[in-house]
Amino acid sequence: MTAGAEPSHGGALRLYGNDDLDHLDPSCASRASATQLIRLFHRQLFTYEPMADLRQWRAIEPVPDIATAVPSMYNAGVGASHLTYVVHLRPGVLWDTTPPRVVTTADVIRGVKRLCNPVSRPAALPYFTSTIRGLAEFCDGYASAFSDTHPSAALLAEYQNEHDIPGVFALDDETLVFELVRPALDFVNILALPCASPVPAEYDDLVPGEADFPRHVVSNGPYRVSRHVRGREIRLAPNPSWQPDSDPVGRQHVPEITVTSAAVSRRQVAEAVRAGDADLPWGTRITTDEADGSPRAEHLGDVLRSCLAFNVVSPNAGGALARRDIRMAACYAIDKAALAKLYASEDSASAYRAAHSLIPEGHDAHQELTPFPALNGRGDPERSGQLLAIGGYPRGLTLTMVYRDSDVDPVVARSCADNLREAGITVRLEGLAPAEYHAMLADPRNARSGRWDITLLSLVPEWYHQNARVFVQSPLQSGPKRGLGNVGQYHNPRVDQLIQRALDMAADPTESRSAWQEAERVALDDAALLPLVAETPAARTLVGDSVRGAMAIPAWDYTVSLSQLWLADTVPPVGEPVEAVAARMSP
Amino acid sequence: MSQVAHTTDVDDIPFPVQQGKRDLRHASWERIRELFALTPGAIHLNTGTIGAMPHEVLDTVDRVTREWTGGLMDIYPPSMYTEHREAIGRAFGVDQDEMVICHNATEGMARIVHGLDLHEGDEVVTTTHECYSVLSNFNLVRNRHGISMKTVTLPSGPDVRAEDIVALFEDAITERTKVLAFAAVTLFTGTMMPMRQLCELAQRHGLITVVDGALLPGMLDCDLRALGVDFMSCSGSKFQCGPLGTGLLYARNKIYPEYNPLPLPTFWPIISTWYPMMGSPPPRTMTSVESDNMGDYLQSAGSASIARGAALAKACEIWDEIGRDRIERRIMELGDYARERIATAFGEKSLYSPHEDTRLRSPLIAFHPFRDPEDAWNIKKISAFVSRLEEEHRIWVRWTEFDVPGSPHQHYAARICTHLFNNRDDIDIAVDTMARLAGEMS
Repeated sequence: MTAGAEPSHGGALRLYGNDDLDHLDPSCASRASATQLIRLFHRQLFTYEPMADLRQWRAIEPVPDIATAVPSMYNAGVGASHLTYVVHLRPGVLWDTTPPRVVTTADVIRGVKRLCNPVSRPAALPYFTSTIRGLAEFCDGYASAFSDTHPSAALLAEYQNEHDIPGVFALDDETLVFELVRPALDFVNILALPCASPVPAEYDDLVPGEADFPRHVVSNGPYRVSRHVRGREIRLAPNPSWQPDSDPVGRQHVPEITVTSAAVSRRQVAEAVRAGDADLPWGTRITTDEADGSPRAEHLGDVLRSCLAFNVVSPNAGGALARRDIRMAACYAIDKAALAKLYASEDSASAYRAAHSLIPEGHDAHQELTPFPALNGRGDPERSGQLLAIGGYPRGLTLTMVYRDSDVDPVVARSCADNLREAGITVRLEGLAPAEYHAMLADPRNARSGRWDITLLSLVPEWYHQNARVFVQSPLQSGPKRGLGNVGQYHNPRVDQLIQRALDMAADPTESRSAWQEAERVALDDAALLPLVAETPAARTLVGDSVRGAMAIPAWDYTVSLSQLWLADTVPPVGEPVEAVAARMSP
Repeated sequence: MSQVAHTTDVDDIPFPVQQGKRDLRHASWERIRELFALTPGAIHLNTGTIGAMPHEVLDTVDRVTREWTGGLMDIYPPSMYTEHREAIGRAFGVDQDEMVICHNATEGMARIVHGLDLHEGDEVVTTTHECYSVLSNFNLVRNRHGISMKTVTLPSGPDVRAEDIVALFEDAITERTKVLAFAAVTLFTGTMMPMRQLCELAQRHGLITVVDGALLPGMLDCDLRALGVDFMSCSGSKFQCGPLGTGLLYARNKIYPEYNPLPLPTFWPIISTWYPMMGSPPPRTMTSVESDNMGDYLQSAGSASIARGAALAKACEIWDEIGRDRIERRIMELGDYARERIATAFGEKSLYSPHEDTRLRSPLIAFHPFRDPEDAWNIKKISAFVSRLEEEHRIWVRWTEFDVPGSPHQHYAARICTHLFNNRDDIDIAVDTMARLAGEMS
């Protein structure tokens, strides 16, 4: 095995980090770290081709994956009014079953139905329900059918198999049609999300989002799950049913991929990679400006790395966060500039700055906003305290802030808590393991019961063109209450109306942009969310010495695409027991 | 009394002769069919996509190409096509300063749309049944200048009436509307749009009319001035049967109040060599006498394909010889015959094309060939149907896709076009074959 530009076969790739590696069901996937793994065993109709140079336009442009072509007016895939998309499936894409079975349009439709399941829904669900004809009604009906019960897999499957979505239908096993309620210029990007994955009939036996899902994966990608130790390790091996000529993007250079999760800090992960104990960080992106000096992805548009979300239905402190003035008080308290420095101290390769807009700089509908002008982003605890006093909390109040006990989040949460405390808001901090954190936020009952009041969110562009909805629709639109989108249950009819208008006017860029911007202004003025820190990401991720061909996918929060990379000749023994790895790398 | 003679242009084809000249005006349609380079054994019912060139047109391309190859002649004066434009303009009731030979209908449309003086807030009313070249060019202007587009979906089916269409446009017009854009004949359902009524509507509201006339030349004997349109782009290679890569662009350049009393719209002749390099052209005329030659501005675009222009002119000349009125009657008569045959074979309700209102009929007939109505939104089935007609039966038709008001589906239809080189046998064979095949596929 030699290092070089040409991919070679062999070795074992080791990923290491602190994140949830149990919840990898594509139908409810919302996290980039999950996406990075899911793509190995669940392909979508469209995907992104890794590009070494992110300045290439193809780095953010969906390409056909299971589909044979991106529908366009040139291939009769899209009509003049952009309300019908015809998708043809690539022949030879197989499920890893015995015997291998062809991926059909029925599997695509099953995948679309399954993302509406009432048990565990993806944050991206509003993109689908506001776009595909009849899907919102299907979703509502699905939720109503099980509003009082904890449905079994069999009942869920029965509902899905007995109800159709009017706007998604198969012409035969190879071709299907999506009909939209309005033109959606980002529809192909939406179909490239992991939650739009076709799923096999075998998944009718699973409740979506189960933690032992990895044990039941039926792959159609280049890898299959060969071992899963809940909460600790997942191991992937080449899928023997995968045919390279049926996959224009995926590769199978590495015979084994192991992901190890442990309660480690970001710095410990970086040290492990640098020491050769791991090849890639996982669940946390560690950038580097070493080696080739790859530029920051300045042309693509920033990531809203962090924002503060309020649980507006929390009964805590007399329902304080239901009130705009109290949320505003919290907003004035935060020293964003300090937070940006915190991020920068952890990652010197990317650029961080205080954020004031939800739609970050470089994206279509970005606008310069200063909704709570507080000393150039340094926070104004005095004003914050005044607002609390005027609002009936002269002695302050106590709130619970939950955060993901991973990556930079604990440090950021502590900084926010300190700021709030200075203003008179006592913050009870609660760090949760990633899996627990995501499950807790996704369940609206936890919001209503006051299990939490404040949390941190990242608004990462899931695509990079005509993408205002990822910053506005998912976190702010009322509607399906379950999932990782609008976790704080924010509801503002005016914002909803503006989102609706922006979607309706998608074909008119001026009108659409204007509506997105107005929605953003109204929501920020209402202190629905507080943008904290924007990031211009560095293009290069820290990788081990032996890793070659590591390319970040911007739409997956710049995580590295795993199936294309390969290893040089400094690889550890294949199949090292997880216990040994964990022991060696434990913090 | 006619005599039979050999022409000098087309060897071995006897035609009637009048005063020593070939008399195509009185030639039989079977004789005229022999003028065309048709593929033996095939039935060409897809002129809406591409026509069949007459042998003389092919010869002209070849001859003029050779004449202008390797010479030292000044190619710029003939690139203006002055005589050709005059002759072609005459055939369409307009003058040389209003007629341009361009590369195709799409290019013509682009030059019209981007030459309009549109600004942010202005609105264009058009339809979802327009050719993509119309919609994409207006969208470009929308992105560039911030105009808005309002697209209405035309009704389809045998009972559509001209008044329905005019009312649809009228309802869509607002105070911001500046342009009405529509096809002369829609390519998807073959609806002959009520052009004059729409132009009158536009004039009542002070609007500019932009007409996609891709299918019009060679099909209709029409007077563009009398229609009252402001701009029209046309294909030279569809019903006019010129070479690929030819088109016509009409820009109204003078005012005849009886047809269109509105002032000439501000227009920027993009792609022009002769537009002044300093200063502005004279003010646009307010009368029936041109103040400037807009056609020359548009025509001057460096060196041109002189051979293709000459060949298009030759095709037009043949049409004039046969008689455009006679051709139109022939085409429409064949169209009506085909429409009746299709209505009989597939049922009148299968028609997406107008039927009852004869004003809306064209020689393009779109219909649903299958028994199951739901197959109307099955692109694979219609595509297979058309492919099998071509591959197994050598019958050339096409399928089209379009919106239908009130339906959430995009509909797909089979479309046939009749032209002067077709005959009833072609239609009978095609309809019988299509009925058999559709039955088999249903």
